[in-house]
Amino acid sequence: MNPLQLSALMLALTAGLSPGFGQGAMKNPGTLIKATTNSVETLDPQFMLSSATMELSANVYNSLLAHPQGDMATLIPSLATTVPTLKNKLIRINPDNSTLITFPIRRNVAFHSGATLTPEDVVYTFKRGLLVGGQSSAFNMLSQNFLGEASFAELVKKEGYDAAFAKLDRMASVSGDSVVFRLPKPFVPFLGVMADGGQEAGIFCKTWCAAQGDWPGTKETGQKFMGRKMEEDPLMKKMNGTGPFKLTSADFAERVVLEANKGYWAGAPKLDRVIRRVVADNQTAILQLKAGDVDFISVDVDQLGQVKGVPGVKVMPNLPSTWLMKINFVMNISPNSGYIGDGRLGPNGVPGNFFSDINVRKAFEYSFDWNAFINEVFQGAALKPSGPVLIGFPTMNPKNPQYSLDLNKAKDYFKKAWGGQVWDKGFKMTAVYSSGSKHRQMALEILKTNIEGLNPKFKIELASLPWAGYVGAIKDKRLPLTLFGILPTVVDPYLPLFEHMHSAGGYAEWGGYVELAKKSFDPLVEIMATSYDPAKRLKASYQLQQLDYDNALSILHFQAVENVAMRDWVKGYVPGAFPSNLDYYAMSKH
Amino acid sequence: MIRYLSKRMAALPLVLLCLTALIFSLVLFLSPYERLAVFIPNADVVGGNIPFDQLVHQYGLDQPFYVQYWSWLGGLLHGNLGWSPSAGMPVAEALAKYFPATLELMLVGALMVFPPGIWLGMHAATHHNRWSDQTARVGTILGVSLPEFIFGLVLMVLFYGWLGWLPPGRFSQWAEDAVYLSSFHRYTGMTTVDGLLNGRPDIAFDALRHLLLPALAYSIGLLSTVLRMTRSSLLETLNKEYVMTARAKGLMERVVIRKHALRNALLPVVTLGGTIVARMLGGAVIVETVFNYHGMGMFIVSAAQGLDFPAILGASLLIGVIIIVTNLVIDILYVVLDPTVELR
Repeated sequence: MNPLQLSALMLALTAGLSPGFGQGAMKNPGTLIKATTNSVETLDPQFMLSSATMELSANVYNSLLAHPQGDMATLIPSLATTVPTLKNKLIRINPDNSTLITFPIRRNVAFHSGATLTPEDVVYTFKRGLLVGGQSSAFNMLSQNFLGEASFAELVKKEGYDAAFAKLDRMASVSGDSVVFRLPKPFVPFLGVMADGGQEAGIFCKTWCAAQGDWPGTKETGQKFMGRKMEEDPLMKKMNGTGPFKLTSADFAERVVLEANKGYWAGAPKLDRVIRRVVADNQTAILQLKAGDVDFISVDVDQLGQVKGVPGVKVMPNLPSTWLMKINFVMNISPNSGYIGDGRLGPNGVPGNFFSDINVRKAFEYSFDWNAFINEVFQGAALKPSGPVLIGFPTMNPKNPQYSLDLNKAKDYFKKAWGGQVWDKGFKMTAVYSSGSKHRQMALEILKTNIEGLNPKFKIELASLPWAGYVGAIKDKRLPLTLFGILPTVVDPYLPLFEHMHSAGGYAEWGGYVELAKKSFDPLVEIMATSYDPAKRLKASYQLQQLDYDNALSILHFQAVENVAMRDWVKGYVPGAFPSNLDYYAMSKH
Repeated sequence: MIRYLSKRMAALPLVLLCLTALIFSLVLFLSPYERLAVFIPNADVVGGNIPFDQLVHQYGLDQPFYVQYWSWLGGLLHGNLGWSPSAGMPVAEALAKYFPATLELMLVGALMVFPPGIWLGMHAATHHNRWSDQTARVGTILGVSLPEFIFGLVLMVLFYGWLGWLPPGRFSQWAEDAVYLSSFHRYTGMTTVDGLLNGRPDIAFDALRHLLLPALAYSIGLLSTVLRMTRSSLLETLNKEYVMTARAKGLMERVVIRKHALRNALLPVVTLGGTIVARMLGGAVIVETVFNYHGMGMFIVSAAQGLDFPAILGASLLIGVIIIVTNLVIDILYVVLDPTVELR
């Protein structure tokens, strides 16, 4: 037990005996105070990388479309007045496959700065995100689809600035009160990206951005602004949206304060003010919640006992989250890895391509005990995925074949692996988790126990790395197994399937199955991206889920749940795709 | 003495250069992707779709070591210590913001360590083997052996959880709101002082309320150390011949102790002062985390966890300067306390 764990235990014991907790009248009426351990990396939605930070942009900005609260499958208008469909002819596919999507823009919507929203602002927003190199996943996706490259800077390198800017310029234009996007080919998840509620695709005010020193929107000035670093971004510490809350002050490591936008086009919010406070240790946040100094926190499963039953505190455990975790097999581990012993199959190591034999992968799959893992780590509350499409997402196949613990089958596959050499010679490797990550550690401990029990010649050692080292080692392909997940910010099956299976999705490169992906998965993932025919998409999605099972790419070990706790005077909380991200507009304190 | 001080000050840049080169060379052991991790926030709130290669190239992490070091040194000469992704601001700005908070904590801590530690040490020595001496001896063993984070947590549960007197953080909600207003000038960055300078004693008092527990948490062990050192040093001095001579002259015991014995007995305590400053800086890391007190300690923790090299280098530079200056001050105090000491 390390000092922090010991301190948590002591605090839990002592705090449990504290009579003063949970009593007293409501503090800070009209102000919602949320405590979180996640600091903020930027206030520019186009550069946001963490879903925790996107909570702020979702409350300050509006996108063109949105979802009704608690219903991620339905699209509703937001800054656009109509949801484009093929039926209402706002989506048109040309004979050359290029696609026009038209969004009629809402009138009389004011930015926090006082300026009125225009279609020109919408066009500027997306061109700006691509030109400056917005790093959020939405802009990565848009860059691939509009420009055909990972970034505008890459396109400039290949085609020159003039040609690249012409391509950028063509992507969207104003047509009366509407904005027309021109996609080189259909991209079905585009509407989902536009419906992120302001998280990454929030609409900027062009004149205000230029006044802050950002790109003024002209071709002549573009080169000066392209491919910017996060800290060079003039919008890093500023926000000006059309959303229900406006930024008052921001201190990334301490607190961000928002105040109600009383002139919000959809009606004034009920809260006057929101403070998102950063705490170093969640134990402090728990104490503050009990004392009523904080209104809302997230709690780990092992902290639930500290908040359950406390007078005045409401706990909502086991809320499904759109976060799927996987134990990924790396089929081409770097020869420089220190985690594969001598690099030869036998009692002292494994070869770098150990997992390229599907029998090894299947043996590992059958060695994992989902029930034990979910019970130990999530007290039985997390979900077992049925495939790479998350539970709750369209086209998820509940009948997709799944692996489950079967040590006899695991033994059979180990005997077949590497022509029987694995069983005869044994193997030794080191499985690594990121320090402090209980779910990663527990998953590997279960795998280790079950596999080592099959054959005394099998050895899996466990080690931990700090988060920074862990991420680096994954990217350097030094780890035989990587525990990293999928966290789609758009509810569309294309996103998890692209990330997990497409040759350019990230995992194919990390896991060493790019060629397999190109040959077997990419054409089907392309159908998911381009077909508006639900039947075709369903078929392609089912086929991909089956292929994932057949190829045993990863152990899909859980879809997460989150636990939140709040004071009972907090009203209007409805869990969304990320339960700890709040929709302040719907909330009140009374 | 001036020559000595000039020599020490002249050596300062060289010492700091060596320090930064040493820390910077650690970069060699990490791949660009490992150093990039600081730009990728929390382990469990990001997905797999991260533009690693784009970020590595943008931040020049794929450049050779000497290019990166030279570029950092060039920035340093222009007062630019680089960008700290973990703090979300330039390193120099982060240090200017967080160091005064920690300094304020250290000063309050020093008030809890030195005056009571020296007084109690004197009392224990002059009441050798009596009950107060025995109590002090047992108390100091307890004080030294109690880990700061456990003591801190117990204090917080008692004084915040039970009694509601001394909350964590740097301010209460109302004071925080007032401090963030543009009308509140942060002259020193130390809220107690700034509260008074702004004519807001209520804010100064609120800041002091928030300082008491963290300062107490890391002072208790240091107070025990000072007490023990003062006691043993004074006991030794009281047996010296010149003290006996003073007593033989018929001087009052109070005068013998204060004027003759204590001055010499304090020399080891002064030496200890340098170690205590270093220990306070180290202790701030734990205490600030436990009490959610946003200072240098929390800044260093988040920088170290994320391998935020610009922040680590900047903080190391500042700590290096503090330690060197503290040692200089101690050297000067030596001369003041003992005229036989000469600095060359």
